[in-house]
Amino acid sequence: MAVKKLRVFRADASSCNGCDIEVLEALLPRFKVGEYIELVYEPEQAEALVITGGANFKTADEIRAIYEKLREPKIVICVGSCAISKGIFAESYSMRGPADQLGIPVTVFIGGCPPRPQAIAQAIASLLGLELDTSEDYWGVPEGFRGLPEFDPEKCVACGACANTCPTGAMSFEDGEAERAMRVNYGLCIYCATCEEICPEEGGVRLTGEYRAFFKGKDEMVKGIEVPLRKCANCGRPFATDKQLEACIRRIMERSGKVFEPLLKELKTLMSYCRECRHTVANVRAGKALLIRAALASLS
Amino acid sequence: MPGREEVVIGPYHEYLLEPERIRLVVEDGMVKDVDITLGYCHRGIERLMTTRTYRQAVFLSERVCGICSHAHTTAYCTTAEALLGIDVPERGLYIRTIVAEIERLHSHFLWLALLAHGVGEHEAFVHIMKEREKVMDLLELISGNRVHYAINTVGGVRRDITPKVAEKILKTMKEIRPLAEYCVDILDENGPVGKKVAGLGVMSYDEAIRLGAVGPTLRGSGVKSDVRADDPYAAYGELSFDVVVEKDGDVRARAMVRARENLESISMVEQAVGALPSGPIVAEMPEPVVGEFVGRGEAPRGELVYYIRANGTNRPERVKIRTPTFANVFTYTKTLLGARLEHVRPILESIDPCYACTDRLVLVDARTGRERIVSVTDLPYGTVDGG
Repeated sequence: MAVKKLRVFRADASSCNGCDIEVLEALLPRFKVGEYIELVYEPEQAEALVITGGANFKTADEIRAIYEKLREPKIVICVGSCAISKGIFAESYSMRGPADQLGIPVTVFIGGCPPRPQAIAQAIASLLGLELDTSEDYWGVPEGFRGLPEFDPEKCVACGACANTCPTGAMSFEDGEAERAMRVNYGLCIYCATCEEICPEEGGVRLTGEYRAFFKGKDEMVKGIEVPLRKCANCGRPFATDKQLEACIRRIMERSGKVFEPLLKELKTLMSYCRECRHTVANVRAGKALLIRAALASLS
Repeated sequence: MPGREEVVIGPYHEYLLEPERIRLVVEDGMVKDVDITLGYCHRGIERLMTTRTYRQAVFLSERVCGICSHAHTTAYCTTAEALLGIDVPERGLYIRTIVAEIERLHSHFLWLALLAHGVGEHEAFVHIMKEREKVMDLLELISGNRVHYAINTVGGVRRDITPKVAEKILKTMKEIRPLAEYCVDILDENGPVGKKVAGLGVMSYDEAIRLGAVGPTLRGSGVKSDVRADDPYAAYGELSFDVVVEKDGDVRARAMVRARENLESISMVEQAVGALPSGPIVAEMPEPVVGEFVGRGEAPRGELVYYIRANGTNRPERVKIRTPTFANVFTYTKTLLGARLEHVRPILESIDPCYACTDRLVLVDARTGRERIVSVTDLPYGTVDGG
């Protein structure tokens, strides 16, 4: 049976080439959608445009012109973190994109750095309304696959180490009145697993085996959890999460429990103050006294 | 002039995987002049690297190129480690080498498939791409991603190879050896691909050196030069392998170098997995230093040079990258001239161009402040290999 093929123009808008190869590979027989796709090399012949990369000062105009020339219905598929948000190149002086900010309406965003061909194939299949048989082993992920990062609401103490170390700024946190919002932006993420590596809670944030990251809009890409904040016992300003303070005390007790066991009450009092309040004269004195007592206890 | 025309390839064209603009002056079907405009993939990576810590910058160097990402991180990390005075654990170096050679396999297979496709051998293209998936699955198993392995870090590697994975590596190497042999066969002088590309884009031994070619493009012209053998880094000093050289200097010779290198890579991976030392895989980051260092590595496309200057902070002050395609792209000025128009595609492909790597060259006119991208004819010869 002859099928009507979707004619696709592939525009590399200053990508690193990773996504481009994966797009081509998604058309191999192994991934089952190749027979429904025809790659064309003139935008006038295409109904769909695949964009990779965040569009620099040269390609930005090119891809806008290509979009104008597309045939209806002008389907635009953005593949990879760069095409969604410029990814790791967001702060570069040469990048003018991403596509949606160049006035190109995007039909679907496929997250990943780069997305697996399996993901691209499934996204195309759902665009075309196809049912893919994904029963073979390779549609699953191997052990240790770096998929979408997720916070564990039980383990995450919202310390913010992941946000500080993330090379793209995909991990972030923001303090509200009573809660700290931990956020991960799948559109910026490059799935490098630095957050998982740095997390002091071992599993507070973890890269899952999920690789299907399809989004219609950018607000769908941000996920996260809320962790309650503690107010300073002195000034009443929220300053750290309950869980983080508990984790700090737990770690102190694990390492030098014997010494701090009798001093636990003072330790907890001191840690219930925010940074500014802890630095008042009285509290600095109390802190020093506590440390001296601890040092003496460890000597005996 | 009769029969004289100008052919512009790109920036988006069937022949090009990546956007680039190549202008050919053609007379009676023969290429008389060539001009290349780069810059469609310029992402400002060198500048961005100076805003990141040494370890964060690894992810930027990885994204210079989506095909030889590991070659970039290896060259970057090797340079940074020498600069910072880090002693990398043996096991880390071996894992680095194993991933580098598996990456070379996938890169060479991809390129050989594209060459076959370019000369109309669709069957060979599909066969190589299909079998190559085994290598991709293996890389995904080792590192957790098919393209950006994120396995290197300054001081070693981030992920260990478990005995189970090591076994799978050896099994896959056994499985893809027939594919590597198949590639050598189709490139034989009478093979389906070999006979179509023999004699195209010839570059002699002296010309290859004069034009500053590197990697398989250089070795295809008979020059025995390979950073892995000449200036061993990672664990290459402890592995035995031959530097593959072909004499003809044509497209077939350059392809054959890559096809035969695949066999060497398979043997190197097998040796390295067999001799994998035990111990830690990564060293601690030391105190910041002041200084500068030039390091290099052999990417699938040739010699890759990194320069890093440190100013005593946790971020590099300057990073300069000289990629192999930037060195090789100048060979077009020789290989394309006098070629028939229908042969342009295999010749363009024969250096395995990677423009994503190459586009870091912007000239800014100081008087007008206007940016412009350098074209080949604008460049004086002296800057060709100025890494």
